[in-house]
Amino acid sequence: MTNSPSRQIASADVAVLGGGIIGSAVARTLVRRGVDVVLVEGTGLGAGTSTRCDGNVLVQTKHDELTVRLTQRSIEDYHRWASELSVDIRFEQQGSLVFFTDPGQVEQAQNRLEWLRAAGVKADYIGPAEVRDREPALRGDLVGAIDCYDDASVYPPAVIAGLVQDARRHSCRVLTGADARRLVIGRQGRVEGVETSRGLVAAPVVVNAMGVWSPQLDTSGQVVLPVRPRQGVLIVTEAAPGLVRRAVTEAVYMANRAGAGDGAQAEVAFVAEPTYRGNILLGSSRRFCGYDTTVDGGIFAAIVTRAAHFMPDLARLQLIRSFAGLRPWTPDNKPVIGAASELPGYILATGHEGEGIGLAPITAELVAACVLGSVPDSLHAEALEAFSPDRLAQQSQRRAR
Amino acid sequence: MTSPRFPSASRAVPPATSVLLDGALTDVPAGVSIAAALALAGRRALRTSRPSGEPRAVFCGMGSCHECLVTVDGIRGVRACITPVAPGMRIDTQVKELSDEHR
Amino acid sequence: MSIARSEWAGDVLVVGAGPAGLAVAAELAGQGLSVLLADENQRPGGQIGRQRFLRSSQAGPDAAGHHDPMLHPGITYRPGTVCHGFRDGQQAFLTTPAGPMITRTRAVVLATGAAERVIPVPGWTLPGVMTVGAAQAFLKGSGLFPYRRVVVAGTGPLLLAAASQLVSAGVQVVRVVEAACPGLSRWRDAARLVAGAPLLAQGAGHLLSLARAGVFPRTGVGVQEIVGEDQVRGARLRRLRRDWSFADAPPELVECDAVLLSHGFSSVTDLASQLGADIEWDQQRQSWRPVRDQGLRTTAANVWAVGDCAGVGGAQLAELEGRLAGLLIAADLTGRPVRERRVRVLRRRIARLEVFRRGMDMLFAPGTGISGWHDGSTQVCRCQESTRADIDRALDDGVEDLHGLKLWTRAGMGPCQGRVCGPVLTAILASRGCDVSQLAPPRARFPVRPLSVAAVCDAAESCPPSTRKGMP
Repeated sequence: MTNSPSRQIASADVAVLGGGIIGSAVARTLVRRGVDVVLVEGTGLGAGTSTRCDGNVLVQTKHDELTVRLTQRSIEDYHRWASELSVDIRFEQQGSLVFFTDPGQVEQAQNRLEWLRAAGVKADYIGPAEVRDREPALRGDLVGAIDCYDDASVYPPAVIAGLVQDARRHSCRVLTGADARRLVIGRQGRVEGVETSRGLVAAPVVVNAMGVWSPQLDTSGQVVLPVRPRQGVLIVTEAAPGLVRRAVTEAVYMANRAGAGDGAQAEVAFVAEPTYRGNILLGSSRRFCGYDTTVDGGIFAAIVTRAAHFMPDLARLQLIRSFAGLRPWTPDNKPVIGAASELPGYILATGHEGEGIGLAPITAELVAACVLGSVPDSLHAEALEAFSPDRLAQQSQRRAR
Repeated sequence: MTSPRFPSASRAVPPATSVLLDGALTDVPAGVSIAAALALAGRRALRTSRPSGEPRAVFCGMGSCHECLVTVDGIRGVRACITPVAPGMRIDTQVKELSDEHR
Repeated sequence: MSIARSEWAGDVLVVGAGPAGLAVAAELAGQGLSVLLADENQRPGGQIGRQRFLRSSQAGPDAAGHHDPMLHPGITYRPGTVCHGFRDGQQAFLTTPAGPMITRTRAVVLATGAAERVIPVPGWTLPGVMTVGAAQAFLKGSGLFPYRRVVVAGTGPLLLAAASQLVSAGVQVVRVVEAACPGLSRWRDAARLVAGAPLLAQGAGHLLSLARAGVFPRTGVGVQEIVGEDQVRGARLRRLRRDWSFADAPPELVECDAVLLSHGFSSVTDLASQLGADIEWDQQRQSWRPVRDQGLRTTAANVWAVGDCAGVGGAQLAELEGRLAGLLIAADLTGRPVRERRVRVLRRRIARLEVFRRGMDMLFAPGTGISGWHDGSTQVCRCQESTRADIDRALDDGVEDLHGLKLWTRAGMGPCQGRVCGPVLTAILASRGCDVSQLAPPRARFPVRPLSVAAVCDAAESCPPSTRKGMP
């Protein structure tokens, strides 16, 4: 493979592409373990998906035991980061509530509770009266809810600021406005660096943490990523401290999330979450519309009317803003984390869809294990197996057959 | 606090209208902005800031800065500076936090 | 109170009934087009023509008037109406005093005017500190001003006008201080541009009436600090250098109960931005503005911008732009030929006013020293209480643009959506060596003005089918 010559602007042991929450966490974890890292960001730190989302770290909405355990580990990590980082990341462990509206769902809820408890989650099933007690604003006809006590939230921009600041203190270099365009692959078929809009960054290891933009990195046709942007809209109310006390979600949200959702039609499910400043975030929607971050008027109205249906008190509030984020979706709803065996030196950390904030700390650990070749603990080993980039090639082969 | 005397351009005294200001029946000149009515009633601070709780009053006077938000007939976030008083209007300053109602 | 959704379909939605909006609406209606003229205020005329609420209430039931006698019958006028944003160039979401309204029009004209710019100084959030325009609004709207001893400070001809209005309303104006103190060469350059303008005579008139009241405005002086506990007790005034940094001279403490500030104007670009129009930095006016072509059309389909919201130029220029846009839009929508002669005349008059504007902007351009006016604990964003120290910390941490500052410090995330702090953040970035013209402009998102949940529910016809899934 020949590469057009370009001015070298940096060299490091590892180039981490993407200054979102995943890239920041990976860079910081690596430099703290003595690795020479350059963090390469196309526009500005946190300018993409990581700051166009909520800051939830929820066990409650997970479907498989592995993700539950990984999220629990992330909550512990965030707890630690809250004291380690010199930026207040607004770590709050106020719990989360998923409610059920259909009497037919009671059994499903009970099963789910048992399953969560078996995975070591502290949670209870509560009836309508108790729900009203714990979340007075939540009305409407509901049959019950699961209250999950350990679930947490952070303020993502603060997390990124704190991580990058700490990484810099450990000599991490940060290149912003450097759009990563092409992997430089040597004659041996090994990664040698990355071509950016500002010049060449030489590095024997390149971590692609570019989220929805990760498939746009030119890899000369190797390791094709089936990651697609899936748009989610959030709406912000004026500050109303205490009106919503924890992340409140209707059960149908989980079905929407897990759905293949291949169509362009939006799926809307009620979510309301307090932020540390007292504003309430209202969601949620999921829709495939390319890289468009326009908030659709119909989705806006659907989210707001649905929120007012479940929380009539919201009707008194003013909405002050809305925004749409693009989440990196994968066909099997699992992130892509680990080394690509067909392209030595190329490591992936992408495809988290709505779990980027929730799984950032554990993702950083997994990438560090790959870079340092350290022996992972059993949970890490299981995760690396489940999220392996190699599964994608197998899946696409299966589809082809 | 005594109500301040207002310097004003020489004009005939305008007709008065009654509004319910933080629960108290108050006569204000008809047709003036809520901000002017509140000022006339001796109110300067219209809301408290978040999170520090400082008093805030009319700042831009043209609907841009949102410092003068009051609750009118139960509707929050009304800009006092560009909304005229109407007879019988219930005006509540947002000095009291919304959360108080939920504790 | 029952609120019902209403719809309005017609040719053109004009947002803002100031000089530009009124002119464009009149021109369009005069050519047989149907116009919805929506304005937040109770009376037409904008800030410059603000009339007493009193007069409208005395006029009887017409107060909420949908057909102001001043206006052409082809214009549907909606006062007290807020435009929250657009779905696209054809469909807008408004709230009127009677409830939410959805409009569908072939074209949109933005005539939303400008917002007064205030450079934060310690104490500027105290009750009793307001913009010069706010004081004028009190006087013009109700004939009342709730304070007695006033300091007027900032820059521009508005200071003199407001001070003389306050004096004639019986308010004690204790100081009028203008920050600008242009050097001789700048005066010479500017004088060529502004010579003969009627504004000069007006200014002289204001100076005269102030002198009669014993008020002698000073130039090259700024407010260093406003003091008081929970209201204004005084202001510390201090000499400024040419670049508007504070000179070494000791400050003077002046007792007062109100401080009026004004440091120029910034175009209100939120709707243009929400519509996806390109926004650019106007170095001369130190403000963002929508990019427009010769025909005053923005880069968003079917959207025009006229008057101060597209570059502050004052009422006269705004009106001329409104007329010009009206002619061009009418030709566009009706397919009739453009009235070339009128267009030529308007363009000539506009060009003359722009020369004058350049002179004014030259005289009153804020100096670079303003970035030193706030101390670390001064709130830059009044809504979110983000301080200058928060901003500096973010910049030290590598934040390089407006969007980053907003995320890192939350400045601009409150109900005003950065209309007050935006210009200040831009100035701080510029003072740190950032090339503002290369910055990504501030992006406004729906709703650009707070919108009640109730209004959205009232306006929603029905939930889209996909949301019904799981409904009880």
